Amino acid sequence: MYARNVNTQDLNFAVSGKLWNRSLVMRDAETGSLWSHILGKAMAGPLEGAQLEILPATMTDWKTWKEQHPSTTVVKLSRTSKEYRLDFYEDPSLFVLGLSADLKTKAWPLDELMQKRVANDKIGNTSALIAFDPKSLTALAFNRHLTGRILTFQEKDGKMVDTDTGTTWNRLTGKAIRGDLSGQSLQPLPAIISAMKAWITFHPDTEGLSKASMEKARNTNFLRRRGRNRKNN
Amino acid sequence: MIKRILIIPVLVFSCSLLLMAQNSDMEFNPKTVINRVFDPITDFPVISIAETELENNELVLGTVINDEARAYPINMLTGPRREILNDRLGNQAIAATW
Repeated sequence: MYARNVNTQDLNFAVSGKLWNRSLVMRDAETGSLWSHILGKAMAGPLEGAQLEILPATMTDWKTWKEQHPSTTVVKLSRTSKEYRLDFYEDPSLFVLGLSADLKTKAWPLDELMQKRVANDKIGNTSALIAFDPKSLTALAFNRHLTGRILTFQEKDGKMVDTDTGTTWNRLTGKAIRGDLSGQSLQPLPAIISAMKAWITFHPDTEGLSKASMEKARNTNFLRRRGRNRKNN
Repeated sequence: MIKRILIIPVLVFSCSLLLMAQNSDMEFNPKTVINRVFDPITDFPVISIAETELENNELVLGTVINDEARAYPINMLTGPRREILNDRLGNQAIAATW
């Protein structure tokens, strides 16, 4: 999810008909610049070098999204696919939650998050909370910095609790639901769900991934195997 | 003496080869798959929870901007001619894409 403005100009994006490293290249109608879809960066044309702001977005199932956001609206278009359902993550070790902050990039493999569920981490100067909901296989990132302090979180009896105040938090929205910090919200960070193979292609300096897991991702062409060779993330 | 004179250019040459190899990984060299200009998608229906026929286990990309929430079903977002929806949510121009 991108903010589609560069400075004050709103841009309208379409597919370009081109692929780069097997990943989508976007084209803006206003200037004809070509943009990497996964980086959100103009790679050629008048806007070359410009970077779109990534906005926080959640990849989850419809049931979970509408429960957490009862006033949500939803786009209606003809279906172009039927395969993006919960069982899409056939092998969670091939997917990551990836985050760029303070010129660093870091990724968390979904299979590790399934075990850990809550991770207190740091990327550059940003203290990040990585939260995973096992039921909906949803991974999100939040800023642990809240009004002058840095909170630390843990998994406790199936709930996400901060160790500083004992407050219970909703891991799908970042809202405090019970305890001293009730009513407060963590700021979401713009992490994205990506195929690990695409993530390491476009972020070769990424932190957080073992050599073995990257090697496995490089050698697994799961998209082709499932007849999905059009794009990589 | 000859050795010493040779070492520096050899070092410089191998270093530049290494740098070139690193840069070539991310050189922008897109391949044209479909040779035509596509129009941006800017106009599409947005409906309520009650109106949608989306199934519970379908994946969506959801976002909240200035207290407005919207879900973009991945099964309606993919496809070589679609991929990006130009939208406006919470008074922010956004490109919904995954």
